[in-house]
Amino acid sequence: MKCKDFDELLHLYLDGELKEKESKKIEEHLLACQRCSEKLQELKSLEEKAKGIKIAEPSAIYWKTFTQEVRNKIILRKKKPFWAKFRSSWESFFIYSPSKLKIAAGIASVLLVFIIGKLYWDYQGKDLERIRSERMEKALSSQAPQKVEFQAPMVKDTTIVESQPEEPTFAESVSIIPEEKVEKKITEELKRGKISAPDSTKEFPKVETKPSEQVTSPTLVRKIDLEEIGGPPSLQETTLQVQKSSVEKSAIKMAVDQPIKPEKFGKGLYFISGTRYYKVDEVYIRALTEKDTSVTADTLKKVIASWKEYIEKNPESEWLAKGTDQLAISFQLLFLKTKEESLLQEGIELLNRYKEFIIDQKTKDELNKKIKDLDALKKK
Amino acid sequence: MAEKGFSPKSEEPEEKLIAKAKRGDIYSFERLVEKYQKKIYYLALRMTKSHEAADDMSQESFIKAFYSLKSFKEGYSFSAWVYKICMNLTINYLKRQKFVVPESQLKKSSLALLEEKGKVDFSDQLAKEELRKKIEQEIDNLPPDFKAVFILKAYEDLSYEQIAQALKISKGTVMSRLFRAREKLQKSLKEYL
Repeated sequence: MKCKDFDELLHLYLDGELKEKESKKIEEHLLACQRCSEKLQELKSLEEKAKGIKIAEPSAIYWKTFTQEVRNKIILRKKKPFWAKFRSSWESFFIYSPSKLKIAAGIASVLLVFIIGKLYWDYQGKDLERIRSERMEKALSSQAPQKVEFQAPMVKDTTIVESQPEEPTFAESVSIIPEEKVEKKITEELKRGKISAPDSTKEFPKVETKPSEQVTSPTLVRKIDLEEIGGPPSLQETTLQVQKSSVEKSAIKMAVDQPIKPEKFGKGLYFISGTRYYKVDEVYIRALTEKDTSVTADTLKKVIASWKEYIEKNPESEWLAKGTDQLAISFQLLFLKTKEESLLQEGIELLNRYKEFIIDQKTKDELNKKIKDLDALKKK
Repeated sequence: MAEKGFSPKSEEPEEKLIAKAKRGDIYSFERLVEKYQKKIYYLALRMTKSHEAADDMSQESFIKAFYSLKSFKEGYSFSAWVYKICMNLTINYLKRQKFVVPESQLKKSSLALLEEKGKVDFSDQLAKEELRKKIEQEIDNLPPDFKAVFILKAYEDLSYEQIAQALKISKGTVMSRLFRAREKLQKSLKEYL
């Protein structure tokens, strides 16, 4: 056993914590080892000197009052109301201690991490939203312009007109369908299998110009045949193809959300994309003059059909004079386009029939004049 | 349990007083306070080196003991239990005071000045007084946990087992702390021992 190994044992020996056998072993070593013997002496000296330090004794009165003090404090603390206990603990809360500092630092760190995380998260969210909206705008701008459907009332085969070279954007009548209505219709059609979901990679539709021609290619805007759909007349309109991709769906939404707003020009007269329309019972009918020679035959036919349907349904309407006037112009322009005499004859007969509905003599005279003009044109 | 240094003399057995105090008899508890007040006060004073702090700690020890009497197990030494409370309070107090620079460190002791000048003469009464202060200072400089073990051993003459109970540590920890505390003091006070 080395000398240093005795160091700890010396303390135990000094304190009387060793067994007899161990103590004897130490004593034997101490006789032989001067270093350990000196160390033990130092330890004893330290103990003695430490014990020799006397501390000032409190006075006798202090001891007499000590018990009393303790008792009073016990009673006081017992009777201490809740608010007083709360107050004392609140006051002690602000007394500095290292452990409190550590706790506070810990809480502050957690809060800081949380706040930074929240701010970063929010920022990322905004950034994503911005990127999404940018992509949306890009998608919309690269695809078709605003989609509007066109339909001539009572015309069996409605036609979608998006843009035609020689014609204005709008045809005879324009129906702006609310978004919900469109989506409902799309759902119905999908269920019936009448239309198919388009490929999201395909482009927006092309203009459909021929009546009765069913669109088979996936398009955003397509014609729907009345008989094919079999739906109510109010819904027998152009509808939007269901879009699977979110971008295209949003494009539909945008198209519906931002319809072309007709601008009121006069009583019942509206401008839509630079073209004049009469708003007749919520239906926009192309307004024509004798100068509108560039209007296509189809459009003229549809204008005729629209007015015809309206006057038949509302013979006493205030639109009667205007309707007959527009019919006369339409027939005249149509004849000039097609050179079909039968059309003029049909127009003259129709106007003569509608003339009977007119009560106002002045209007009646004007219409007579129009009929005469048509007759003259026929003879010519 | 065999106890050294704090076996009180009392007319009424300690167990009876504790039982009564447990039932809320404050006067019985007062008898217990009277028995141990000096020991607890001196222990606190050795630890804190301040009368005010010792007064506060010792009184608080008894108050805490009164309110915790329900958790006191029968057959356990009451004095050892109050020692434990007092030591906890004083150790916590010293740990809180860790950041407060002791007055003894602010002023260089006269002994230190004498040492520097090579004019130390321990036969002198003044030098003896300075030595006492030096020992006190070195004990004060011990970490609170080491100081507690050293004081309980040196001044209260408790066994390792009792110290372990009072401080709620193992006997091995007591041995280790005491050894290290003594080694430290021995090293710093070598020329005076």
